[in-house]
Amino acid sequence: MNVAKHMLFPDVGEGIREGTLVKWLVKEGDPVKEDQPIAEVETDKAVVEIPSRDHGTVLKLYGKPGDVILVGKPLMTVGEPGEPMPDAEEAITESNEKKVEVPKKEASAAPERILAPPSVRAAARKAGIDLSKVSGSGPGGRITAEDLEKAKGGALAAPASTHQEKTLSFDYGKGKRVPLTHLRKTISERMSWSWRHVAHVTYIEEVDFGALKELRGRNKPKAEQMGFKLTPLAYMVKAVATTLKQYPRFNASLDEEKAELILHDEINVAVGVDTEEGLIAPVLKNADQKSVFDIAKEIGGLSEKARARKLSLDELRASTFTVTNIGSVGGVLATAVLNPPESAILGVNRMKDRPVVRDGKIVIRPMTYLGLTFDHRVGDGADAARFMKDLVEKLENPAWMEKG
Amino acid sequence: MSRKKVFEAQIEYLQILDEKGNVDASLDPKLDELTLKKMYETMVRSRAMDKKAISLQRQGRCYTYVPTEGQEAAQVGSVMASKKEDWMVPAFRENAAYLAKGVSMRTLFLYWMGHEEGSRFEKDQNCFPVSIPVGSQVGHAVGLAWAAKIQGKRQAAITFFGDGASSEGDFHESANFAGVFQIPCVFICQNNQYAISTPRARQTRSETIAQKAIAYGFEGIQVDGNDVLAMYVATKKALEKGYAGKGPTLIEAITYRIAAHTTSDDPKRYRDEAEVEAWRKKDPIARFQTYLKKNGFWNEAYEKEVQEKAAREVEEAVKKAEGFQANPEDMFKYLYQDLTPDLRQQMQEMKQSLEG
Repeated sequence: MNVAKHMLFPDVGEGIREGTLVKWLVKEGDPVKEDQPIAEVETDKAVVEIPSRDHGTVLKLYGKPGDVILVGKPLMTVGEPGEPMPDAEEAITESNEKKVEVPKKEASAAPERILAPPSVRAAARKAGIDLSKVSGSGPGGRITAEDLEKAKGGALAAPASTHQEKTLSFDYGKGKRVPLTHLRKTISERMSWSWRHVAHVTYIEEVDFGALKELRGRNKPKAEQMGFKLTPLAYMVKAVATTLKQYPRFNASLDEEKAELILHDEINVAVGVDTEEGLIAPVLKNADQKSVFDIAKEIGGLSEKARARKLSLDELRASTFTVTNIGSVGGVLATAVLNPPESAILGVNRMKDRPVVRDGKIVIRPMTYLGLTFDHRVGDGADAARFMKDLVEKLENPAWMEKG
Repeated sequence: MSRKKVFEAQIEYLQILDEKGNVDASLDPKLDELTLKKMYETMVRSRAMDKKAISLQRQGRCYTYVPTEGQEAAQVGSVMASKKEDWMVPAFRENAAYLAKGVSMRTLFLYWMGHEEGSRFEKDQNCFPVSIPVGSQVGHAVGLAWAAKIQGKRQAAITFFGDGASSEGDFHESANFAGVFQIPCVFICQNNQYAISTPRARQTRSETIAQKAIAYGFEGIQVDGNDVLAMYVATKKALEKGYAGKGPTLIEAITYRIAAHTTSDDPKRYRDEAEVEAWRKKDPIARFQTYLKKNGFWNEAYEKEVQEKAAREVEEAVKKAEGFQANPEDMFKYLYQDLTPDLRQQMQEMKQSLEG
């Protein structure tokens, strides 16, 4: 009797160990053909399609989107309905089968192989540290520069180690453990870096969106005819990019090591997009040189791509400033965390009709709070105040954006 | 005392079949139906093999694979202009050249599946194995052609390399040597616009790659590499020149790598999809199909037959390659005529461990 077959997740790069399942392209119970794409898997940065190696029916799929899958572990079982399933152990033996065993007598004689890049080996020799006594935290037990630093700290004893960050251990309880996706890991690393290194200050100003609302209302049908949505965000990006030209400090990055500020030649505005898998910020290159219509069109395209996880690396990098719409669901005020290595980020809060005083009278106006979060190492409160004053001026008198 | 011009050179560009499949009648080599169909079928077979190999790699049935898609004409046109005795010395993106030389798909799949057997060609096939180190094969080709010249044979060598290899020392040393000794070697640079991720603009300040031949005292020509007829004509002329003792030629085939550099590459990181689309419109197979049709050699029924035959050939070749029983000793066997003592010892140890 035939037994259904496991298809194992192969090494689709040169020496990859894992990937993240992006989505299944087949369901359990579906018929499947050899070479038919069954899944999209993200490895490092590229998303690749994995085709089926067998004909038959999909009996089982292992894992769900977002799960980390390991090379050599089953991805899918294919067979005929009712066929006995191979057990997981069988799959593991299959992948081990081809390994050539090293004879035992030699294994005991040979020293354990040390995995470390040449730079770490050289540094270890210099410091007089025996790498065979250092445990590696890298892939496959590879010893990293950080591991070596830690080992050095141990060797040199107390004073050096007081500067090291203390790792706290928590009792996490018994809840279900969900591995972080690549995207979540990236967000986590970048945000915690920012939180630890940047001196965050948020400066808040209010803006009357009345005139801009009218302008947008007039131009909206034209944009619709041209096939895209004219969003308030497009006007915001245009106004920010134009204002940034006079405030290079907020379109800059700090190289702390060299004590230099890098004033960027281009104004590339990243726009936060909320996707099912987390926040992604595609980048509008040279936003200051684009019309509001072009910006609106481009944001539409980028957001769609972001949600489908189809952005190219190029569309994700080289941003110099970020605009994030934090009021789309609700809330009064929120402060953003810098998108490193940028020096400022603008948070746009919810627009709401509020009573305000105009010419001694209380009137109702569509008001919005804008929060500029900046790196105090790079700029001061007065810089932020001037920037915001100019920006609000441009937004409240939007005739210059009339042409779209 | 004087100031005068002592040297002047120019580089020609050859295209016979344009992007839409229109032929320049005055340049058309007017090949017979059988030859034309073999050209077409070889290109189609190469593309069918490409598609399957990429899928196999993604299933873990084949290791890193190097796709040929887009460069079929540059390889098939030139190899088909050569004689059976002429050597074909490839880099690593020459599946179509191997097929044109008569190498079986089974052999090619064996190579990409990691078997030494994939570098074993039939005795009279006169092919060299895949050469991964960039540019290293160019010197081998010059050596082979030099040997032919010394032996007084009417035989030449064709070697393929890329725009990236044209910056390697191997290429320059080999070209210089071939020029000095008037060696019958045809240097074919498939300028596919990228050396992995390095674009042509960053490769050399020279206006053409073909002009590099001028420095070494022989002829260089630029050819539309997606035009199988132009590649045929240019290579034929270069070979005839070589047989007649008039030395080497450098052919710069202007082409484009449509697929990724290898299955481990993500070209979206360094080039625009719009650029790829523009090159798809210059596809070598599509334009040649138009030419065949105009000459009455192509119809739907023929196309169906060619495609089905190629698909069958691919399936059978994969089956044979996957059924191949490798001998682990092969790893040691082919570098030296006689095994060195340390390799012999390693082989013994491996055998013991496999038996034990």
